[in-house]
Amino acid sequence: MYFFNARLRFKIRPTPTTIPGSIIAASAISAVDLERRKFGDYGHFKKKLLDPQLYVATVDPALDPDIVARLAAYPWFHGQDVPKYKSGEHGTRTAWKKKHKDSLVSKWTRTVPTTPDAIRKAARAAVEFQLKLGCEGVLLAVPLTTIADQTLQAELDWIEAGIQACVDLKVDCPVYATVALSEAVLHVPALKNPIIHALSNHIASRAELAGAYIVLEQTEPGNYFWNSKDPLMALLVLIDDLVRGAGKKVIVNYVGTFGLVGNAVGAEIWSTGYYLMQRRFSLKGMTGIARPRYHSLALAGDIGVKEDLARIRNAGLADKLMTPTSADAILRTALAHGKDPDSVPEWKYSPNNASAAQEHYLQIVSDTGAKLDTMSLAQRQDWVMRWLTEAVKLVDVIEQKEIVGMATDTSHQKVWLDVFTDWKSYAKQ
Amino acid sequence: MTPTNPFSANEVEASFGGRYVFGSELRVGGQGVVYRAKRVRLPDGSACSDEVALKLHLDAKQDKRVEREIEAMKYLRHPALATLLEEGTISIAGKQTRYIAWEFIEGEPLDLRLSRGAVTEHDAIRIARDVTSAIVALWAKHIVHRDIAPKNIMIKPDGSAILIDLGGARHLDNTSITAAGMTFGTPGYFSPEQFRAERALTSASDVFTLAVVLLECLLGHHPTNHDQHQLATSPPSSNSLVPGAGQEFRETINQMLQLRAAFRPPADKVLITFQRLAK
Repeated sequence: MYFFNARLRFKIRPTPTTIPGSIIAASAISAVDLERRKFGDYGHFKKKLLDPQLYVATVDPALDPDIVARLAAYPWFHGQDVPKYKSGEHGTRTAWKKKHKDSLVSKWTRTVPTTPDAIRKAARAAVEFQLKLGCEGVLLAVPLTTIADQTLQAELDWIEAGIQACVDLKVDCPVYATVALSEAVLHVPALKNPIIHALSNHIASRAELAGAYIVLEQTEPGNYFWNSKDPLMALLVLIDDLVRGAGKKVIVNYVGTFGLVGNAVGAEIWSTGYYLMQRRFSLKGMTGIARPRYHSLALAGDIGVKEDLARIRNAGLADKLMTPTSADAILRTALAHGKDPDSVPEWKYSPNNASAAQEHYLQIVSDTGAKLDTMSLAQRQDWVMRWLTEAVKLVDVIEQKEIVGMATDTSHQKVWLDVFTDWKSYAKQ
Repeated sequence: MTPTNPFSANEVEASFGGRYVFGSELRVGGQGVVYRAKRVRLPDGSACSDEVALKLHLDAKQDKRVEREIEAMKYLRHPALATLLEEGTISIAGKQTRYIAWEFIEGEPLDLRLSRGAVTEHDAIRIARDVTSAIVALWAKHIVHRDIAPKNIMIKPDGSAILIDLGGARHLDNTSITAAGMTFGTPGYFSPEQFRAERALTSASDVFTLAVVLLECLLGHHPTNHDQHQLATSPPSSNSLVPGAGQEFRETINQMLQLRAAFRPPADKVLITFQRLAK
């Protein structure tokens, strides 16, 4: 099932296929705003999850003080003593945020609470906040796994504290342990990575957990697509261990449309969004300026709008590579009439002109997500195999013809296909 | 070199001020000596009459391990786990010595029983049921035994089994006690993750090891002749080793022997199966 990785983007144009749910990110929206948000207006928030993002605790305030100010005001960081917002006293929420921003940023320690009492309080606060928000499930706050330390002591302490809080609070919705893995611990062959097996083993052994919410942290902040084999294989092995092995549920986020592969392997929910910060998570880059990128389902990647789309049209490959949606109809018509994308205002390659590109992307992922939902796991796996095989063939064609530049993503498709093929052969054993 | 007991029975008995009446020496090993004894008075002086196995820990290097065992068992009472009755430190012949008084379990260790050959499937299922119930009780406290082997299972005269020696038991809060790259347990009975010296173990590790013990019970010898590498890379199948055993028992053992821990059935589910089979 596809969930929109909304982060803070509540307002999107409705997609023909309804998006069943969304995930909000604590780093993207201030607690004072989130608590007062009305969700009824947005169909894609019919089911919602809040990612408490404890794994962002080490983010550098110099990189983005606004993000730190937002995170610091959540009680599971160091926000137990954050002043309460009172409209009579502070006026607008903007005024409250302005007044307290510097103080919140100055208190940011770039660490997570470590004493048992502090962990207990923080873990409970994260659960309580999600319950108050009416979330579909609870995502337990767990720090980022950054060191290949096999004890996983910090992660397990937080998971235990979160489970205990859920027991104490009589939580009756599904509870997921967050598994946030830095790419740094994933550059070893996945099948020999003890962290992967230790984590799945622990989650499998806890009856209180419905499953895991998995986030991979990408070291290189500019990549829209994961293109390294070991981390992606680790993700599939983790999903497989939990779903096929332990009968648990998995939610996977921040891997873009590789989430479709995760879904075919057994992940119940996969989540992504159009913008870079919705597709992948990196501590080194949390924000950026968006320009339009044309997503091609056939290519399993994005095509550069500025020059490559016109070149593809000129090479007679538009029909093969473009994915028709209502959001790109005007673009396809223009291209068919020999015009360039720049002639279409909605697709003009300029900063912050990404509404149509986002709508196009969301239509593709929601449609494809819904399509896979109707299939059995085996059918999904067949679909993914065909999808990636064809994408790799298309990459070969456009590379042979040398018609695209760096703006078109062609480096990951073969990696994705290899990872999926390797996983399939591993899963047979 | 055969370990010897550095103390005479009189020295030991005197050190306890007559609170214990010492009987035979049950076992002497590198880590300590175990006596059969009768506790006649509690530390507060009140009278009692408890048959105990009193262990004197002679190796100071094992103190942390002993402490762990005490912590694990202090508040745990379960019919398939040995009960810790008393623990402390006492001066014997001028030497400070850690001791633990365990409830005395009438019976024999499973390794001794297996030296006479295989047990019946019915008896193996009872052992399976009892040891699994101990694993479940331990895991409810987030404790992993880590050393389930025939030497640590006592068979009582009525056929029921008791899991003993929690010296290697590890609580989730203490995953860092064993040095990196080191593992604890008995070679030939390591789970794959133990063999890889993974430190964050769960009850799934004990579940795997119990399956090895159960195959040994049915065969009368170790299923891989203590070839630990084979166990950790290509565990045996009960279907080929003990084809005559009941199908559900064999299938459960095979599931318990899955290489990937997450693929093994949880201990509580295994227990339900063994409880049903034992009826």
